[in-house]
Order: sequence, then C-alpha cells, then structure tokens
Amino acid sequence: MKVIFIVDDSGTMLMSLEGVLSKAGFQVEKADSGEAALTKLKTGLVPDLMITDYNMPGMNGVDLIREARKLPALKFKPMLMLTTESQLERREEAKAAGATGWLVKPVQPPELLGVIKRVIPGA
Amino acid sequence: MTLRSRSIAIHGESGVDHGDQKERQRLLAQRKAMVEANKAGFGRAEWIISALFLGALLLFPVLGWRLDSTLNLLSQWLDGWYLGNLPLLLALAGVALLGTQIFRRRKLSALLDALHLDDMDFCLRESCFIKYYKELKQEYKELDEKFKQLQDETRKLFKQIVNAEQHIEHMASVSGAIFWEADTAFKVRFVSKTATSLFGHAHNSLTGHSITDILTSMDDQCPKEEITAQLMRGEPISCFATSLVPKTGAPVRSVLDAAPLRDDQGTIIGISGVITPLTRRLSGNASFEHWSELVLGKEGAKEGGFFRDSAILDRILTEQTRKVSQETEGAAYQISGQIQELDKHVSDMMQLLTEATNWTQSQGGASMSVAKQDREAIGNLQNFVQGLRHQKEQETERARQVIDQIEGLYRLVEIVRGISEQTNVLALNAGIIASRTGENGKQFLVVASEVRKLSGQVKDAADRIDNGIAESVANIQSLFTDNTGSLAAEKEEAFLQRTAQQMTEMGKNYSKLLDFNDEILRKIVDWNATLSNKVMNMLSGLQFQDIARQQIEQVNRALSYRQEYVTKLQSLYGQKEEAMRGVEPFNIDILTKGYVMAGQRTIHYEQTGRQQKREEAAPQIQLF
Repeated sequence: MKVIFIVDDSGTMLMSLEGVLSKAGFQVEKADSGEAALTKLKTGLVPDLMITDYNMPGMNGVDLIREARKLPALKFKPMLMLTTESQLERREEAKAAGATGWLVKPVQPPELLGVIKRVIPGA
Repeated sequence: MTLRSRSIAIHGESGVDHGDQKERQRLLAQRKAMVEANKAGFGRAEWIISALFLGALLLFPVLGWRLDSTLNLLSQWLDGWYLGNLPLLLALAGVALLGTQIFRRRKLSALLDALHLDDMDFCLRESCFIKYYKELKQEYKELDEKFKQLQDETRKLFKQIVNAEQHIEHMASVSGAIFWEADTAFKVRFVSKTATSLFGHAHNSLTGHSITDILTSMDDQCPKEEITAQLMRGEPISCFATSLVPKTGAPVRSVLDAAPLRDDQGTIIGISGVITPLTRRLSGNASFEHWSELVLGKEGAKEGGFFRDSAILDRILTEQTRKVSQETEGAAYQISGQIQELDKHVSDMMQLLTEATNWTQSQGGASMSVAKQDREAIGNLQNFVQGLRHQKEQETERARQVIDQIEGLYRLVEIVRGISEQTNVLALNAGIIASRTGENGKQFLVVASEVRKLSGQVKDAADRIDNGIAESVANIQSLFTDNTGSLAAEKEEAFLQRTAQQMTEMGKNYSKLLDFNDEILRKIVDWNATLSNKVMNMLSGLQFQDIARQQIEQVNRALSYRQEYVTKLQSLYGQKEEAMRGVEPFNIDILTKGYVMAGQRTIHYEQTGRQQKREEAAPQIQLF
C-alpha cells in the first residue's frame, strides 16, 4: 500500500485529507507542523508522496520541502503544495525549492486523486 | 424726569445725536412749530374758527339781504336770534377756542411724550419757559455733578471691563483658543484676537455677523441650526469638528463649546463660547502637532491619519468577513446537500434490503414443505447410508474371518509343502546312500523312490489345495461384491432415485437463493462504492473550514494591529517630541502582506481606492 504523508497546521484539513486518502486505499501519515514533519522524515519515514500546506507557523511548506529534498531517500519523491495561496511568486518559490506541483484549496477528491495517480508510480 | 434726562433724550449722552436723527429732528421741528404757535396764542385752528365766526357775523346780513322772504325771515330770525343770543354765541366761541387749546395741548402732550418731556413742566409762554429754564439750569448743574461722578464710576467699570477683556485675550492667547460672545440674536459682540492669529480674520471684523455665518461644522451631531436652537433652549452645547471659517485656507479642526449667558433673573441675555483648535499652534507644541498628525493626518491633506484609515479598515474587514460568511454558508449548503444525498442513498439501500427480505420470506413459505421433505430425504439417506455401512462392516468382518481362516490354511499348506520338499530331499539323500550301499540299499532305494513319489503327490496336493484356496478367496471376494450389489438392489435403487430427485430440487432452490444473494451482494458492493465516494466528497468539504479560518485569522491580525496602534497613541499623548520620532503613521497597506487569497487583496484595494496590481489567473492545479 502506498504511503502518503500530509502536513498541515489545521486539524480539520488533516482530518479531511486523511478521510479522502484512506478511502482511496492509501496509508496516511500526518504531521501538524513543518518541524514535526521534518523530524518524522529524518527519523525514517519515507512516504511515496508528501502533501504540505504553505502557510504554517514556524517552518512553512516551502522551507519544509527544501529541507526534505536534502534527505537522500526523499530526493526524488513527489512533494505537492496544497494551499490557499494563489500568487504566482509563491509558486515560483515553491518550484525553486523542489515542489512537484501546486494545488489551490479547496480541491475536489477526484482531482486530488487524479494528481496523485499521476505523481506516484503504480498508484 | 429731570431736565438732564430730557436733555440727554434729545441731545444724547455726549451731546452728539445718537439714535434716529431724522425722527428727532422731525419732532424738534414739530415742537418748535407748536411752541411758536403757542407763543402767539393763536394757532391755525383758532384763526379758522375766528374767521368763520366773524364771517358769519358780517356775511349773514349780506346774505339775508340778497335772498327772498324766506331768507328775510331767516335773517330776521337770525337778527333776533343773533342779537338775543350774542352772549351765548360769544360763550360758544370761547368754548370753541378753549376746545382747540385743549386739543392742541393734548397734541403737544403727545409730542412731548415722544420727546420724553413732562408737559406740566413745559411752559406755553416764553417768560414761563425762560423762568423754568433757569430753574432747570440749576437742576442740570446738580445733575451734571452727579453725572460726572457716575461717569467716573462708569470709567472705572469700563476699565475693569477692559482689563477683563485683556484678561480674556491673555487666556485666549495662552490656550490657543478663540473666546467669543454674541447677543440673543446670535450677532457677534466680541471675538478674541486669536481669531486673527489662527484664522486670519482682521480684529473686530467678525463683530456684528451672525455666528452661523462664521462657524463651519463637520460634526453630524452638530449642524449649525442645532447649535443656535440648543443655545436658545438654554442648554450648553459642545461640538467636535466645528470651527471658525478661516479667512483663507482649510478649516482648522476645532472643538466648539458654548453656553447661554443669563442675568440675575435667569433671563438669557447672550451667548458665550470657546473654539479650541486641536492643534495648538500658538503654544508651538511640536509633539502635540506630531501626535495630532498621527491621529488626524497632515493639516489640509486629504489622506492619512488614524481616524480616516481606521474607518477604511472597518470597511475592509466588514467586506472580508461578509465574504467568509458567504463562503461558509455555501459550503454548509453543499455539505447539507451531500448529507441529504447520503440519507437518500441509505434509504434506497434499506428499501432494497426490505424487498429482499420480503422476497425471501415469500419464497420461504413455499419452500418450507420442500425443505421439510428435503430434510426427511436427507435424514433417510443418512439412515440408509448408516445401515449400509453397518451391513458392510459386518460382511467385511465375516470375510475377514474367512480370509483369516484361509490364511491359516495357507500356512498349513506351506507347512505341508515344506514337509514335502524336505521328504523329497531325504528321499534323494536316501537314494544316494542306497546306491552307495549296494544290494542292501536297493530296497532302500525303492523305498526312497516311493517316498519321493509320495512327496511329489503331497506337493501336488498342496498346490491343488493352494489353488483351491485361492479360488475360494476369489469366490468370497466376488461373492462379497455381489452381495453388496444384490442384497437390497431393488429397493435401494428406488430409494436412491427418489433421493436423487429431491436432491435436484434442493439444488435448484439453493441455486435460486445463491443467484439472489449474488445480486444482493453486487448491489451492496456498488452501494458501498457510492457511499464511499459520497463520504469522500463530504470530507473534502471540510476544507472550507480551513479557508475560513485563515481569513478570520487575518481579520484578527488587523484588529490587533489597530488595537496596538490605539494603545501606542494613548501612550504618546503628552509625550515629548523625541518619543514621537520613528513612530510610523497608521498604515493599513502593511496588512496586505498577510493576505493569502486574491479575494482579500481585491477587497482591500477596492475599499482603499488604490489600484490593484494585476494578478495573473493561475490554474488551480499545476504540476511543475
């Protein structure tokens, strides 16, 4: 079973995404901050996909992706940004940090699952 | 009324005519004419009456002479009457004259009243007037001294008033305020000199103007009409953003305070007030100016200032929270709709299950008897099979016993064969020995050979027995087999046929149930898949909570910024200039840094009236 790691400071978002992804047959791991997520990744978690929010207190989503890319196991893993942000500058910033894609909230389950199927091989 | 007061009434206080000069002159001329008329003793009226009377005296005889007998009679009558009544006529003339005098005196009295003179003191004859004038002159002298005393006191009082005025001017100068006073018609009587320094008006140029003309009010609670109305009701008033209209330039933001002035009886005799500019230029208090610039913006500038930007911020936040409310309402409707769909879906499934249950029950009734028969058939079959098994076991046991016996025989046969072989060998040995022994052994040889023959016969017999046993075993086995086939073949066959039919029926029924179950299962699988999708959609609807939360957090940040700024302003009030340095004006545009959605930015720029940087429409999903 493929593992998807979701990172968001909103408990509601985590609940929503976990519900959708687990129903779609994925194993879901969660973190509620950039720092907690990075700790999990550094201590051995290697998800098939990471989906992170942009605006989080402390370490934001872009910084998280930038740090995660430094880990050898995650160098080529897909990492998506799921956020309310819509400015192009932010997207460019995320792309430069190593993000695989950008999704704007709210995203419907068929669209989300469609993107996941495209970025995870064999999903 | 004294002569002096009379004199003042005519000539005024300082000897110069004040008041309505034309009217006074008219009255004086009229008095002069009356005096002249009274001096002569005869006025116009008297002349007319006298002329008439004299005319009547002279003319009547002439007229009587000219006319006919009627007139003669009349003249005679008149003559008679005339002469007889001359004293009466004279008396009448005297009364008429007296009447005119009275009439004139009354008219003169009215005139004298207008001139504030006592007609009893006024003498109609010159000599009386001259005499009265001397008396009056004496009185005037006495009064003049009193007047001088009064003048001194008035001067002192006036000086005090002037000092008070100077005091008021000093207070105005120090406080940077404008002190003013108006009469009950709201005409300005006094304005302090600070009106010149602050508003550019020449000194005393505002005196005589209505206060509603010289004031300007930007306070919705204080229109100018309300100011005068409230003051006339006897109530003090305080207005924000109300000030003097400046000679040039923009109005200086001020506060107006005014109250009615009352005399000892409580009657309103005027209005007094203060206009306090919010910037104290006269004092040159730079820190206050800076503070007020932070609060109100730069003097005369259209933009800037905490009050103005705070009002704009209120509009921005109102629109943003209204947008959040609309979006969450939409999301709630969406989720509500999904719940209703889910409910319908569950109802559909419940209905399906109810139908299945009903069908099963209906089928169940019909198949009860069939099931009972099936059960009986199965029971019979079980009994039959058990009986058969028992029978088989018995026969197997018997056969085993026989086989055991036969195996026993086999052993015997082997023993016999063994004996036969050994006998044969002995016989051979005996023959060999016999041949070696010669004549004596020849008989023995014959015996040995006979024994050998016997051994051979025994062996043959053993073989035949062996074969016979084998044949018997085969017979038993075939008999055993035949027994099972033949024992109850007929009735078993019938029984089994019946059982097979029943089994077939059972199979069909179960097949039907299986098909039905398959269908139910298929529907349940589909239903589950649909349910899963619907629940997934509902879960994804929770994203709106996060979106709303982020927008409301931004509203809270804006409110906190404003609250902090208010606290800062409060702490800075009255502080020195150095404390104000580096304090930035209230700036709502810095809040745009915290916006995460295009909608927030759009509302911000709409409310501030600033042009928004064009945002490129970006796709909702983008893979890099």
